[in-house]
Amino acid sequence: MLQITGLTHSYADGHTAIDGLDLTVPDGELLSIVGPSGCGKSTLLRCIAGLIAPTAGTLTLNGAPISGVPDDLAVVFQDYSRSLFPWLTVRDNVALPLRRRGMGRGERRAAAQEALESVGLPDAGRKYPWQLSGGMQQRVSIARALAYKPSLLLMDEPFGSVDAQTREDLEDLVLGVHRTGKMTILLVTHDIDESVYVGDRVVVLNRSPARVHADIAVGLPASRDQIETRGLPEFVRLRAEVGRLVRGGAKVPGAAPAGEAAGPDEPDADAAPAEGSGSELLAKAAKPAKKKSPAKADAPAKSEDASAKDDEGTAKDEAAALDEAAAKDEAATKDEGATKNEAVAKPGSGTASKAAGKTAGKADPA
Amino acid sequence: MRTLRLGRGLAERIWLVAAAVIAWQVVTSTVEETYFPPPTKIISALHKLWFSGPASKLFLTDKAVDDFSSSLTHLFIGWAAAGAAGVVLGAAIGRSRVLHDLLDPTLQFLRAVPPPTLLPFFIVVFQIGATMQIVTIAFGVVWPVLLNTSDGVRTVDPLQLETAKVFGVSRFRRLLVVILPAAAPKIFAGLRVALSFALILMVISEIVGSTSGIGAELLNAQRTFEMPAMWAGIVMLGVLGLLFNGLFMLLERRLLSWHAGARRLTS
Repeated sequence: MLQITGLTHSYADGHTAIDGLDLTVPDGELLSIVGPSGCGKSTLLRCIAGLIAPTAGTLTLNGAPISGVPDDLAVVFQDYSRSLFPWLTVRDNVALPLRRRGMGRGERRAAAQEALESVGLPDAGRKYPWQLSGGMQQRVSIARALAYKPSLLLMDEPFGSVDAQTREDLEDLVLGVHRTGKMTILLVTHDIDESVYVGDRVVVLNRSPARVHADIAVGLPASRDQIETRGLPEFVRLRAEVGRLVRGGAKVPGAAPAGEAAGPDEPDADAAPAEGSGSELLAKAAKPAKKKSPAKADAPAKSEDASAKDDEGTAKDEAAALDEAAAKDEAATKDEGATKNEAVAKPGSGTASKAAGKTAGKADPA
Repeated sequence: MRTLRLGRGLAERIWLVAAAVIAWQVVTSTVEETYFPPPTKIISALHKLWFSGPASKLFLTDKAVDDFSSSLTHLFIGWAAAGAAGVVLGAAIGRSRVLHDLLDPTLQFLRAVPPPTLLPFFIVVFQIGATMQIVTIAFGVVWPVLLNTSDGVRTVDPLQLETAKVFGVSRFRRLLVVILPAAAPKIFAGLRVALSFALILMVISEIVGSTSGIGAELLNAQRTFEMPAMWAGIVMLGVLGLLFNGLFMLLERRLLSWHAGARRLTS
């Protein structure tokens, strides 16, 4: 079990990346963490991995406080081409951390081969990472993490640099690994669909400094399918909800806002969005989201952002900040993200919200 | 087809050398200037001096065995010592901010001193002989290795280090398995430069303070107006330089094949 209480991290230049974040991840859970890019997700991950010491707050993994890199923790980084060592063969890359597990040479090789087989790369062992495609390299990274047999696996936007098809394959791979390995997985992403599809639970972070903005249980069946699961009304509802939360928009009733868990020291309104009560914020932010019409769906981010600025003099603080974040995020995720969101936005006023309405009562976790 | 292409590649590479040799031959044999003997004479001097020995000794004369073994031994001991010291010191300085700040100004100064200027000092301290020559070579060629290593280990990708840390690779193993391999392309570049420097310093140290070796032979020939023999020494040194560089490149290509492969794919 991973427990984070009051985690705060400020960098030397005074930038506060995380401010009083509380989070508990029970054993065996696959938790997705979403948030606008640059919201402090990576800092959070580095704190958990023991790579940086937080300014304040405590982290404990399985009851032991995290100081330095924990023993039974592995990380899959986004940038596989840099996190795999090009001078080692694939097998040596996977076997590298196993020396510490007290295994002999033969055992290490066998374990590496087994891990490679489990990610569908039984014949890649003798090759070098750079001889493989991007998706295969990320599989090697996952194999390395699996061979290490950690109790907690951190994944830092692991599918951010692969094409859409590969991405889906890798999502299913992670789901499979989670089902068979029973390890706790913490997956950081900025892809809303992915967070819902993969997660047992989705935590939405605020714009920097990061805090838990919302915490949503995913009530989807355990075995998931790229086509079927994504078509389920519950999936559509959750995706819309998480999407709105990430963009600071309206919330489908049900998910408990975690905004109240703010730290005692309120940062000033200019430097960072002041945290009011969660419901108040969401009510304010609701207006621009409702205004969205199919006619405007061509440029959803822009029009939404503009209307928010025009009409919401009062919601200048948080809603605007979050909207800007969403707009930036959208720009960053390029066409892929934009077209996906569009697809949600168009039927959004019709089918999706109807479906959401229907299932909201039944599937509600709270 | 393949042999044709191979032949063409070879022709492309050696045409200039061949043309230069022929031109040299034609010009010098018409002018008949003593200071510029034609290649035929240089080659026969080269042959007489070093390569007219028995087949059992690979056609090397006793003189060749003497000269080459002393020259090359000094060259390689000096280069290897400098390489080892350069990598160790460079790695320490590159990984430790404190060491870098403490040592860098001094090292920069020592590096700026032209190595041949220290020869008189080394002769006084070590007397004329092998030690003096080795020290001269080592002192002169340590810098490119040291500075390249220091730069290489300092600029290791932080993500590679974080990855190693996360997976519990110990400090020492991190140096061996991650930091030094990552810096290897730069270290090898330094070693290659050092090798050509070493050849230069070998000759200088032999000219100034030795009676055996290729450099001493060259000076000796000049003093006795044996122009073809002097030229033979010059040609021999050029060939050795070429040979060493070629061998080193082969070694480097073998050891750093991953680097070439990774770079080819990313570009």
